[in-house]
Amino acid sequence: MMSLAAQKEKKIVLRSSDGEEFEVEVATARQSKMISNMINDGCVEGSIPLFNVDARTLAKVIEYCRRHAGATRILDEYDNPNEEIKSWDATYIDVHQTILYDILQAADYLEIKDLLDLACEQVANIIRGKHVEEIRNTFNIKNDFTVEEEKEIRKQHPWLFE
Amino acid sequence: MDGAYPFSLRSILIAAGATALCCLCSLWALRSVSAGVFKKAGAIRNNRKSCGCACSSCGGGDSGNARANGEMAVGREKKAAAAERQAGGSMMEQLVPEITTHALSYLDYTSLCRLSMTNSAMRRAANDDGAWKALYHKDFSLEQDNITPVHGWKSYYAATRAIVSVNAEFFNIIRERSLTAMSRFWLNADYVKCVHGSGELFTGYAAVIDSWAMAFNWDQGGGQGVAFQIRDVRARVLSDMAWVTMNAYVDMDSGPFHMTNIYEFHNGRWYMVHHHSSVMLADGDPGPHNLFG
Repeated sequence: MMSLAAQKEKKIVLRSSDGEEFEVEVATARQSKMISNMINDGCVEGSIPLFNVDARTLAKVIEYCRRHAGATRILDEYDNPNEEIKSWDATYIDVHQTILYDILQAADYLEIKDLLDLACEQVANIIRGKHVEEIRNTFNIKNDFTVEEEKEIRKQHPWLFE
Repeated sequence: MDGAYPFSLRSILIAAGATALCCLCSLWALRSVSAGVFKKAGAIRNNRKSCGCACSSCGGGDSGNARANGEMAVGREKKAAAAERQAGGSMMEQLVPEITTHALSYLDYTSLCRLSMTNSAMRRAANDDGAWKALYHKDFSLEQDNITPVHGWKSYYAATRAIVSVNAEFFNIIRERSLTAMSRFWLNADYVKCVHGSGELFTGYAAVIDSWAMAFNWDQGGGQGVAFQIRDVRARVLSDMAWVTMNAYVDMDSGPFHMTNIYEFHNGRWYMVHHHSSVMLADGDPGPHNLFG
């Protein structure tokens, strides 16, 4: 049986799609349900290759997992949303769209539910309060409606274009 | 129409690039040993084919695949795909539908409507039933989880929003003591009923409106209007009938109250046909407990 200290010491190595290796604590790695399942199945000898996550994204995701691995216990004990971690999350997810996109993909692939929720909520935050044209510009969405369709839509909801 | 323009321009550019690449290749092939020309030409044709394939998937609009293709393709194409993503593609269109729906479930009604008007792909995504169901539960109630609205959740959301706003209007009328507005609010029919918090029942349009006239005058004597808060509003809407339950917390000795309002849809609008108000039992006071009491 492994001593507590030894278990604490135990590290997992994650390898990004572009070949960079990251050594992380078990508790951090377990934030990912996918990796957690792999640990349970005992298939984490050597490094775990993550074909869909590049080094830049993986580093960012690990930053989140590390912060939340430390915080989970506190959250459980007091059973209330921890203001400190909430503001940490807000700062963490305030990133450029391309990084946000990569985080979304990675959180989905690695099954990190809280991170996926956070990133999805951030997408909603970006959309919220913007007008139709602003949303198009922000996300580079190309308007492909025909003139007739556009007219019809404006007729249905004139207030949305004010 | 101008929406299609950048799209086709992009396709043309990619196609032009592919053609140029193929031309270069064929030049190079022509310069190499003559014996292999036909063999090489065949290889180039294959090359062009795979090239066209990748391009059409980039330009095809189903952007969820564009990224995967980019990763599977060789270095140069991967770079091109990445560049294209930054230059032309939209993050919102490249996300897999599950993630998009998840993200959209955090949006409010107005934002979801606005997003749906940005283009046809977003309209499809924003009309997703799951997103509207999530929004319904977030904005209105966790109840009615197992119902299947006939016209989908978007329409059910809109119907609920409409009835909740009509119901809020009822309380504004009470705050303003506007008998004219209250007369318009009720359906003019002999079967409408109103049970006030006092326990009195009034049947028929005339009697119901008279009872409100009395209530408004009665309160007037006290000088200031009665302040109250409405909470726990729950609405169930069917095609031409809706009922709303809520609690009213009144700033006076009596109350708080449980309330039920019932509406019918006539001539393009909702009319109140029933209002019932009864005093809520105080905590720990079970009161008389029989079948009718």
